[in-house]
Amino acid sequence: MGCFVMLWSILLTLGSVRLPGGGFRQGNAREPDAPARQVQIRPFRIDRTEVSISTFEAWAELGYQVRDPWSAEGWAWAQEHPGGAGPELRAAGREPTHPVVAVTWYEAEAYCRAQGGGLPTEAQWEYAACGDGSRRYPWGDSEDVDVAWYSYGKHGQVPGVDTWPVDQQRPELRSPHGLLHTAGNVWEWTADWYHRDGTQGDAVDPTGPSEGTWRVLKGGSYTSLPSYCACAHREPAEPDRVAFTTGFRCAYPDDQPTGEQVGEEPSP
Amino acid sequence: MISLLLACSSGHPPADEVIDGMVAVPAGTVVLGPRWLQAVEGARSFIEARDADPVPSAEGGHAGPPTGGPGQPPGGPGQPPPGDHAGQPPPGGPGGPGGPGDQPLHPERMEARTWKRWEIRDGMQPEPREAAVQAFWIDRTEVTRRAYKDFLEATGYRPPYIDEEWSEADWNWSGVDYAPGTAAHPVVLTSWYDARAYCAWRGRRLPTEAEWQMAALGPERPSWPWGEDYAGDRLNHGTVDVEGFDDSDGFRTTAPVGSFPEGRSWVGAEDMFGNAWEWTEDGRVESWDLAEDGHVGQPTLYMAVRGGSYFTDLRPDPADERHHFMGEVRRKTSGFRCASSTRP
Repeated sequence: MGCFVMLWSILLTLGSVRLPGGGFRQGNAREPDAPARQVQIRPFRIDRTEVSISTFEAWAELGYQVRDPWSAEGWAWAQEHPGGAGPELRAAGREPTHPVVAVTWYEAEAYCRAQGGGLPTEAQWEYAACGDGSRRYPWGDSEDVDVAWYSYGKHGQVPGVDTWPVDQQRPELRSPHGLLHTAGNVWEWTADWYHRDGTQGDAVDPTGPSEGTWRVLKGGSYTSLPSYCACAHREPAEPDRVAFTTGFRCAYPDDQPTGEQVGEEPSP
Repeated sequence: MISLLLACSSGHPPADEVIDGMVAVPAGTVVLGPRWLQAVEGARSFIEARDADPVPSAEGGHAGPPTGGPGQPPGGPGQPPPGDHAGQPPPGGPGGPGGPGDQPLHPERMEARTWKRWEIRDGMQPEPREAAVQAFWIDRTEVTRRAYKDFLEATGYRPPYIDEEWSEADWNWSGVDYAPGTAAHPVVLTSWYDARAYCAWRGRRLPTEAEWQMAALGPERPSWPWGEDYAGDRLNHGTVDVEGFDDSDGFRTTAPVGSFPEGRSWVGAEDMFGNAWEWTEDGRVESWDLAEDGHVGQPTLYMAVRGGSYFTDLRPDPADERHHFMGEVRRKTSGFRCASSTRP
C-alpha cells in the first residue's frame, strides 16, 4: 500500500506543472464582474489536465469514507450523499479518459486535499490558464478554433460537441503554461467564493471573499458559447451543484527552493 | 372541462388573494407530457413536396419552430441540439408586417409545422403521464428586472450579461442596472441556475413542471390559460410568419409583466403563456424513468421550460409552450417565476 501511494504521488507530480510565479493581469473589462487588475502570484504547481474519470474513481473507492481530507461542510455533505452522485453519473456514459463530471465543490476539494494540494484559487487558475492576461482565450483571441466548446457552427466547426479526453488537445490550443482544456471541455471549480466585486483591486495571491454563497467556476464547458470560456469569465455556482458539465483540476504548494524555475515562462 | 370553460367565459378571473406577490394554487392532478399526439401522416407528403418545391419566400416560408429548432431528444449529457444557442432571437430583423393577431395561419404552413412537432415529440416524450400536485403558491407575475436588481445588490450575484454580439444593446445589464424603462419587464438572460439562486434568496424555489402547468392550465389543461379559443391580444407572442418577432400585440420583445390581464390564468397568474419562457425545477428527460410523480430531480443537461415567449407563435400548436433549454444557457427569452409550498 505504501509503495502504491508513493507511485501514485510520483504519477501525480508528473501530471502537474510548476508555475514560476509572477505578475499577470486578471480580469477583463468586457466582463460585468471582472475588472482588470494586476495580480502577483507566488510559485505553485497545478495539474496539467482536468481530473479524469478513471483517476477520480480510483480515489472514490475509499475517498468517501476517509474523513481526513474533507472540510467540515464537505464531510457533512458527504454523510448526506454517500458516494456522491455515483460512478455512473460521474462518467456520464463517457470513456474513463474523459474528465470526471457531476462532482460538487466539496468532493473536488476533498480529492485535491487527499493528493496533498487543494483547489486553485481563482487567480491561480486564471494565471495558469491564460498566462499574463493579454489574451481572451488560452491560445489568443481567435474563436475560429477546434475547441470543446459550442461555437454553433459560427466558424465551420461541427456544432454540438462532447467532452474530449483530458490529455488530448493540440499543443497550440494549450495554455501558455502547457495546461490542457482550460477553455471548454468542463467547467472547473476554484477555491474562491464568488462575489460580483470579489476581484477588485491589485493583490498578491488573492483568495477571494472570506465568505459567500457561491463558488467560482472557470473555463466554460463543452456546452458553452465561446464567451463563457474566456479567461476572465466567472460563473457563480452553489457548492453542491451536480452538473454534467462541471469538473476540476488541483493545485499544489510549491515544492522547490525559491529561485529555481522549472515551469515555462508565460509568453509575452 | 365544462365548468372550467364556464369560469373562463365570464372573462378573466379575478386575482383573488395576492400575498407578497403570490397567488394560491389548489391541489390537483395534471397530465404531463404531450397534450395530444397528432401525427399528421398527410403532412409528411406535404413536407416532401414542399422541400422539393419550396414555398415562395413572399409567403413567409418560416415553418420551423421559432426557438430551439428540431433538437435531439434531451436528457442525458449528450450533444446539445444545433438550435439551443443559435435559437437566440436575431438582433435585428423586421418587426413584421401583418402580425398574427387573430388571423389563422396559412393552412399549408400549419400542416407543415404540425408534422414537425410530431417529429420532435416522438423522440422526446411519447407518453403522457399523470402527476399529483399539492397545494402551493406561485408568483403572480414573472420575476421583474426591478426585483432581480434587489437580489443582485443584496447578494453580489452575477448580473444578466453575455459577451456576445446578440446580447449587447438593451439586453446586457450595466452593472446592476437594467436598460432604462424596463423595470417592470421580466428579467431574461437568466440561466436555470440564476433562476434557482434568485428564488432561494427569496426563501422560495422554482415550480415543478407539474406545478407550473397546474397554475397555468389547471387540471383540465385547455389550449390556453383563458380557455380553448386563441386570442392574439391575450399574450405577448411572436410569429412564425416572419422572423419570429411580432408587435401586433403591442410589444416586439418583452412586455411589462401583467400587460395582458385578459390572458390571466384560472388562479390569477399573469403571462403564463408568452412574454418570457419560464424555467421549471424539473429536468427534461426522454422517459419518465427518472421521475417521481412527474418530478425529474436527477441532474440533466436540459431543463423543462414552459409558456413560450415574445418570440414564440403558439397558434399551430399551443402545446409547443412545453420545451427544453440547456440549464446553463442564458437566452434573451428565458425568464422565470418562483413558487412556495407554504403560504408566503
